[in-house]
Amino acid sequence: MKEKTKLERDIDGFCEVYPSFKYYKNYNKKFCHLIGNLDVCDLEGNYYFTFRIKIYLNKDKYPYSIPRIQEITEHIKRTNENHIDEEGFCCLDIEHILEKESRKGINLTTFYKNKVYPFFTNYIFKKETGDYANGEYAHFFDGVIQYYKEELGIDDFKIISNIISAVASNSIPERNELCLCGSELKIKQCHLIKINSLKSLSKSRLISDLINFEKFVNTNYSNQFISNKQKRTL
Amino acid sequence: MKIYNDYLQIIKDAVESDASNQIYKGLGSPVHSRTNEQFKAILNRVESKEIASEMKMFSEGLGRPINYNQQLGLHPSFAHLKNTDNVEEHYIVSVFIDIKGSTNLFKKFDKETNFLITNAIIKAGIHTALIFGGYIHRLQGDGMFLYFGDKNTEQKKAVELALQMVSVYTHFVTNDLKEYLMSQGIENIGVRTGIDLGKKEDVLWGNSGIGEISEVTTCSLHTSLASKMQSSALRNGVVVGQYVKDEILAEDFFSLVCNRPDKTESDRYIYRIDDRNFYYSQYDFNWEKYLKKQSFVAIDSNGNPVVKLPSGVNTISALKPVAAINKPYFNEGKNKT
Repeated sequence: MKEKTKLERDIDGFCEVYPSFKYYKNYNKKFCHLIGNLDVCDLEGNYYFTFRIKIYLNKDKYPYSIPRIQEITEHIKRTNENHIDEEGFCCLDIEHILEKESRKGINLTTFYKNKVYPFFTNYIFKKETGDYANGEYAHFFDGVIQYYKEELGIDDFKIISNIISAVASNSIPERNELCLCGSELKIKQCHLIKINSLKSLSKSRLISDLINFEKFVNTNYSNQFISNKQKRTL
Repeated sequence: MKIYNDYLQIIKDAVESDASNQIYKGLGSPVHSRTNEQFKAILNRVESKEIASEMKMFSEGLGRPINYNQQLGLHPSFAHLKNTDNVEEHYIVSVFIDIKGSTNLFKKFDKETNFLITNAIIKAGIHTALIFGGYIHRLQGDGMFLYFGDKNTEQKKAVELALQMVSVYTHFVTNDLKEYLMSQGIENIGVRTGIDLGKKEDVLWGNSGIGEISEVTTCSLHTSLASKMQSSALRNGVVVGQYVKDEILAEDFFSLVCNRPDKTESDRYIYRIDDRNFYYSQYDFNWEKYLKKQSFVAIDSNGNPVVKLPSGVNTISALKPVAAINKPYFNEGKNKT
């Protein structure tokens, strides 16, 4: 008998824990999918609501790819505010964090538990209280800026750009050299761990972020310049 | 499971007020034994004629009326046979449940505490059986002999109700009860169950015994086999007969007892009559999987079953620890396959 692949073993394990999910081997050439109920419950044994979802898995790339999640019962209104697109595909997290996980390799059950289940729980939490339990990322590129700010604990765009550039070009200072943040501390005593964590992002993402950061900085500075000039004219 | 909170609280109160705990509280201070009033207050925390509040909500959700007016050894559909010579054929599902390891309780607690604990376990079992339309035929310590099925219930439905009841109750004993008792140093508490279906032509109902020393009971190979299968069940396991399995279409809840690592082909049948070519198989029933697939059960983030109770009783803040793991983002067109 042919030995099961990692994908098949993980799907078996997942369906054992969450038996409402049914596995469909051939969604298309590239993807298989699972369809089932996600029941929102708290850890005190209370049940709140059920969503029906599809989990798409890339047959060739798993575990080095992120499952795509589609809410199919349309219980969530398709708006940007709900982090869901018109077809019901959900933005579970900032792409950077998801990419880091996919490069390490995921396990379907752990991914469901840590990314998928909390997304729907958070939707119910927001619906009832008006706020997400742990805030949210700003939409589009503003969210990326927020990610770097929070990840590095640095607000200055120019410094963030310099750090991304150093990581992308593999030119992070040596441990005893000065930190890139301008603190005048040795980098090992300052941002080394945080900067190193960016190394698990793909080079293409770092470069694309760098370009967008530079555009953003230039636009911001030129807007500031125009507005200052307008003030002077007035 | 939340529906057992009140029953578990009786057990906690009993342990808390046990003489052994009172002694440990302060060396040299006088030992206060539980007063008669305290004993009764703990015992009656859950009334006999009224199931506990969360259990009641659960029952209302299931939509089955509860018959509290039962008597041991007197199934209401066959009560007219009491003290008569009449007999009647009718199908029945027989269920034997026994708590294992409960004698360990005597190593640690006084007899009053053990009485309260055993009583709470039995009360939880009786109320669970009532919710799922069961009939309590006999009690023995913390063991129970139940019937499922009556003249208004189809055979297949009775089998499903028996499996549901057993799954919910086994979950309670092997999780809530076991965890708490382990925290009190009582190990190896478990439950074993045997279930079998006797079809109409194989079951004779009648009065057994004399006068008031009698019960209306079944004479059936399959009632006897249910008891026998309980003995062959693993700790926290449920063994069912072939006829039970035949009523449930899904195959993946059952595996032959002879497939256990320590068993051989000779364990395939619980009973055989070679002359009549009658071979009756026994199966381990995967109650955890069955429970998780029931419509009255939700599955939490860890894959644990949670009974669905009407909303409005929940406090939304209890969702926060799970919700806070998520921090959503939106970037159109990036989520598609």
